[in-house]
Amino acid sequence: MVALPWGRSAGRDAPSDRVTGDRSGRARVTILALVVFVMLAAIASLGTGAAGVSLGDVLVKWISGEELTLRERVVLFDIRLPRLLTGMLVGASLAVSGAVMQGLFRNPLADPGIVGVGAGAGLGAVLAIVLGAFLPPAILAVAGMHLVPLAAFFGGWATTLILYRVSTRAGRTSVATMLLAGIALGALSGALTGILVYIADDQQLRDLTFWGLGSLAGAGWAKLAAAAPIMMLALLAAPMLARALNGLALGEGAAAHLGIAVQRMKNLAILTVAAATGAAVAVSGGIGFIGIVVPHLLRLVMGPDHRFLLPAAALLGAGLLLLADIISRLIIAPAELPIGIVTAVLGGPVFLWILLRRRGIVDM
Amino acid sequence: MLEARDISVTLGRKQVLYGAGLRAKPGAMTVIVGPNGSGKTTLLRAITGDLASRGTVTLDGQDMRALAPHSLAERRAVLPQASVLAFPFTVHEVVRLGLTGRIALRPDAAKLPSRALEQVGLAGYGGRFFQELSGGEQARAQLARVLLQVWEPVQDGTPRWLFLDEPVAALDIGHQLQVMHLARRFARAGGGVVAVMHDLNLTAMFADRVVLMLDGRVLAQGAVREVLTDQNLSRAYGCRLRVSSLPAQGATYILPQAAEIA
Repeated sequence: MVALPWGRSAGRDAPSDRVTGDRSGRARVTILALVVFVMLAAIASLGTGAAGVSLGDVLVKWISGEELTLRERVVLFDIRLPRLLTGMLVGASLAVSGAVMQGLFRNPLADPGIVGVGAGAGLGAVLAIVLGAFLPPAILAVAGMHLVPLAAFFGGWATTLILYRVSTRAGRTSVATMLLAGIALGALSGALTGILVYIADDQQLRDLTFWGLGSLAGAGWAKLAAAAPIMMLALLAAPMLARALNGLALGEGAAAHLGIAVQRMKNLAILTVAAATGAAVAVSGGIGFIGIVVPHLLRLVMGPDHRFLLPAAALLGAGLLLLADIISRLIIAPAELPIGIVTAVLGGPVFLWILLRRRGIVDM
Repeated sequence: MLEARDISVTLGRKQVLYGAGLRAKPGAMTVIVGPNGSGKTTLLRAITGDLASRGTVTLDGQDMRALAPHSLAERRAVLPQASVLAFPFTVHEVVRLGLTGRIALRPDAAKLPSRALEQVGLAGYGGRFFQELSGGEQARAQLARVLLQVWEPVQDGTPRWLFLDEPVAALDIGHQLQVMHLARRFARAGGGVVAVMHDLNLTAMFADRVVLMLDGRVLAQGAVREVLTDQNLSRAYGCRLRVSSLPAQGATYILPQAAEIA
């Protein structure tokens, strides 16, 4: 790890955080650095794409007061900007739901994608796409354009709830049971999704295929408007969980003795994970590994204190997803690779490395 | 005043506590002793709310179970038996978790974790990873966290309580004495201490009041000399024990060498 001179807690003679064990100064520096990183990634993302509209040209025109061409305006404001915002929100949501889930299950291997919550949310989304038309008009009217993300949220919520009930006894989560139950729930959701694909009509199949690839290619203002409120709610709720998740690291009993309303916080955590995962899955399909890799890297740098980990995860998740999206647009340009493939290729090996690191240090 | 009355606990199908009761005063150290499986820890966990139980637990006349978690946390801290930490927190970060409620608003709050570590003999351990400490060191780091939660034994005229489940079980004799003195100082400063202990000699040395348990019931409770008698101890522990006292200070001690196995 790099020793940052400005990462020390206070003053020139203050002992380093390696001695005091207080990593809050280092966490704050990390968060600041991540803010810069997200801004740079956002600028790069706005400037990247098949259309060949360069940010430099646009900037020169804007400064000299010249009008943008229609083409430039459409590419920037109707294609790249909603895609940028969708990518940031999806990345932040996936990383934060990973961090919250790991805190809730007290295990760094819990990830909505790995333990079937993503598949459950996917089932909800597919249900809404295929059978949505049969719902009572009243429900359709209330849900409106939010129907698919809401259905994904309920699918993710039900899966998380079942997973938690199955794998946790007396406040202790069995990791083996959690992973196996996750496989079972994921397979079940996959099978039900498969049945729905069989009965889907041609137009629905088209929707399903594009959605299932895990891509930001279909991102537009309409899709963003449907899912963004749900993701924003989850991202705003997450910081309220920080103290509770820190307490839960000591065990449920100890958390309660610290004054934490454990059951209420667990319910809120499950809702947050389901909302963030569900909405992210609804808008972008299956994008893997962000939820497990981001919190893990951050814990290595600044420790597991959730007061800092949750905002930092949101930032790093947003930035990394933007980078992955840029790669997906550049690597086989002018065509583009689904972003889920990019995150899997990059995230898979990192996940394996995490497993290897844990072997012999912590039993799982 | 802490009062637990008629506490019964059933774990699975087995009843493990049968109407046990306990009274503890602030300013004093109350120690629960008894053989393995007599229900010491179960009684403590019923009082702290870790276990569902029948009966009543009142703190200064208030129903303890009706208090909200955060207001309860202001009035008492609980040291569990060994616990497993989920993530790689440093010792400082674990202790800092005890910084809750009004104590966190003190101007010197940032310095309190290291002072709590000093009190348990872990000065300079803040930067180590909790999971890399030995069992005894982990127990003392947890004690520092618990101490921090009730840093002032009396807050706004209300005594605060420490519940300790076998606080010295993993410790060497030097640290056993250090922790016992710490608990006694907390009580002398006006706080209340309720501890589950195995060591009868440390109990005799430090307890102001002893609760002796057998088979899920309270066999006797009161002052050390009234409770730790040949008859009571021999009955509770199933072997003939003889209680002695030092001629000079009259301190009570029990030698295993003087026991006869029935």
